[in-house]
Amino acid sequence: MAKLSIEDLKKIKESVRAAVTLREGGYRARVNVHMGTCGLAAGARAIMTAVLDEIQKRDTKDVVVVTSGCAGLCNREPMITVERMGEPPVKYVDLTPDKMRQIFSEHVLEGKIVEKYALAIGSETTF
Amino acid sequence: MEIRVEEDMAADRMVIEIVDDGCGMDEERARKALDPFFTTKTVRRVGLGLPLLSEACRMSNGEFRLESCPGKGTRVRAAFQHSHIDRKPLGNMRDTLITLMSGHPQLDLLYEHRKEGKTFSLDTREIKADLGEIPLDAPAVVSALRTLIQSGLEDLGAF
Amino acid sequence: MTLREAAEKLGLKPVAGLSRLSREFGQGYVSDLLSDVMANAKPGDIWVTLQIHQNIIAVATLKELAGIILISGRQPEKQTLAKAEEEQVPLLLSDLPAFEVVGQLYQMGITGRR
Repeated sequence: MAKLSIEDLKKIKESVRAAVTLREGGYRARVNVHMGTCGLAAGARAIMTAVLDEIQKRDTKDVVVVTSGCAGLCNREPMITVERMGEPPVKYVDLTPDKMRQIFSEHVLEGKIVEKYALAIGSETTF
Repeated sequence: MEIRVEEDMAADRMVIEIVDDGCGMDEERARKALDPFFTTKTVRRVGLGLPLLSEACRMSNGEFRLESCPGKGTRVRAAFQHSHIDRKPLGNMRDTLITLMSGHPQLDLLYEHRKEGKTFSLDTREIKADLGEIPLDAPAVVSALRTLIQSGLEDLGAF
Repeated sequence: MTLREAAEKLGLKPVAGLSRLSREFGQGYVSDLLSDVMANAKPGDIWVTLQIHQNIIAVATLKELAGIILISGRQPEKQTLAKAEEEQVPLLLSDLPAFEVVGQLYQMGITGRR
């Protein structure tokens, strides 16, 4: 049975402590990758891999990645929604891994919305 | 939920089994589940997940079985001829599992992958027990699990 | 071009979705991988394929395709025909192989370029 090693657990606990002191009350941003069948067919998996890679590469401690199913906009997949704490959610469409990486460094980390890839800027926050 | 993948080269068979203890389906619904125009989604009229999976089995000389019991759960068994030229690759199971686990941290997931006499398995209940209060979807946990799963699958020759 | 005109010029046999044969189309997509069609076909495309399973009707409605041409004398499965009728998705049969169907459509001005 695969288990996290003592090493891993120690590192995780340190990292979590560091993240909590960085940002009071939780995470900096949440990235929601749409993964309905249409999203998966259009390449949502590569988008997921790209965002997980960026997080791992940069050792980002306070960005959460979640998934959701089909949003009904099947012709614009792959799609993600980026929501920074306290800021309105932004939907991005017609994505590629490169666009995802750009959105990650500009919007997720620095709060600069990448308008040319965005579909809509929401008006309600969800967390 | 249990996900089992068995790659039996001697029998030239790959079987994926997905078992859950969800609300289950009655016979009527279980039948309709394979109809691409049946869905419980509200945003679309079309539900392609199970129909495409069962078709993938058919196209690679395999079989598809869905058994369900209301109140007990559902078992899906997708079998393929391993060497069939039209069998779609299993793909990146590392990220599939990470997606499942971090997207649904409340889910108790057991993954077991058998290939050529070796097994890789992962039980999120044990992982969560080791983590204590730290949630399964904490970014540091997700990264650590990603590495753990990748090396496990690589040892198996399945990544 | 309408589906009816294409059927006449190419010798296609319409077997379902007859109410929609006056539909115009100007572009097409050819692929036998449903995931590929879901990712890359555009609304209004005519789809050329050898797949006969009812999932093609679901994909055609999902992607709002103009219709489906089945090639090489392939016959749709019973369920496929039934679903095509139910959804009024034009289904047209050809004895020609895909390359020939696409080539002829192309010569008549139907493109695949985005």
